[in-house]
Amino acid sequence: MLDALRNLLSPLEQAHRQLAFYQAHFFITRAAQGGGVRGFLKKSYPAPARADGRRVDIEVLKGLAFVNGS
Amino acid sequence: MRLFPRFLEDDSEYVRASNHWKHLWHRIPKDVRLAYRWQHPWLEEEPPGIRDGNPIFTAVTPEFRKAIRIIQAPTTYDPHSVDFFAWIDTFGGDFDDPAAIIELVISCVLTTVTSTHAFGLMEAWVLSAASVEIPILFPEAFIPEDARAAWSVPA
Repeated sequence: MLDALRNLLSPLEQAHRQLAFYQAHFFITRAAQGGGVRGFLKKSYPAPARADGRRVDIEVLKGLAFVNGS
Repeated sequence: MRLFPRFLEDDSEYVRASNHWKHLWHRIPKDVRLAYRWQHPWLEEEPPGIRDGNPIFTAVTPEFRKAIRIIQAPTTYDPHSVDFFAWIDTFGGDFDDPAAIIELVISCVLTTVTSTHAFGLMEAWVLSAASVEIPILFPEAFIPEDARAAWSVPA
């Protein structure tokens, strides 16, 4: 899903958000290894933020997310 | 001066950093927090194995559909990153969705200076009740145009 989102962006915007996608992917991988995470949850990457405000947000509104195989 | 710089490597330091934010929160007068029905925490707190300071503190007032989300970040060498940045965002819908929560988001490397900036924004956000205009006083804050147009005080 994260890759699909990234592919919607232009190469330049992907480049601007390279660290954000890397950190988001790292979190999702760790969350999956830990059995997933429950909503409510929201995270914004990169951390620290960029001066131009470009970012990637993860939002879980309900249920268990980032479960392996889901 | 940096505060709790090893918060991601040291669990006890993470707890102390978390307590720092709770301490700031409790510096906002209790009667004000109660008057606007503020609740802390808001979002699910992550287990120690995956917590990363993102967020490290959250609070919400469902009645006024406002929230605070604090992200404490480690120092990086990314030339595009800044030690303090704040913006207005939504949770659970767009700005024109009456069910959406409008959130003040602060992302910072924690120092004595950024802590002071963050507290100023948190206090202003709480004291402003249902308004989203206060953070525009801060040059780091970013409020989308549609947020100002769509957000209104609940009846």
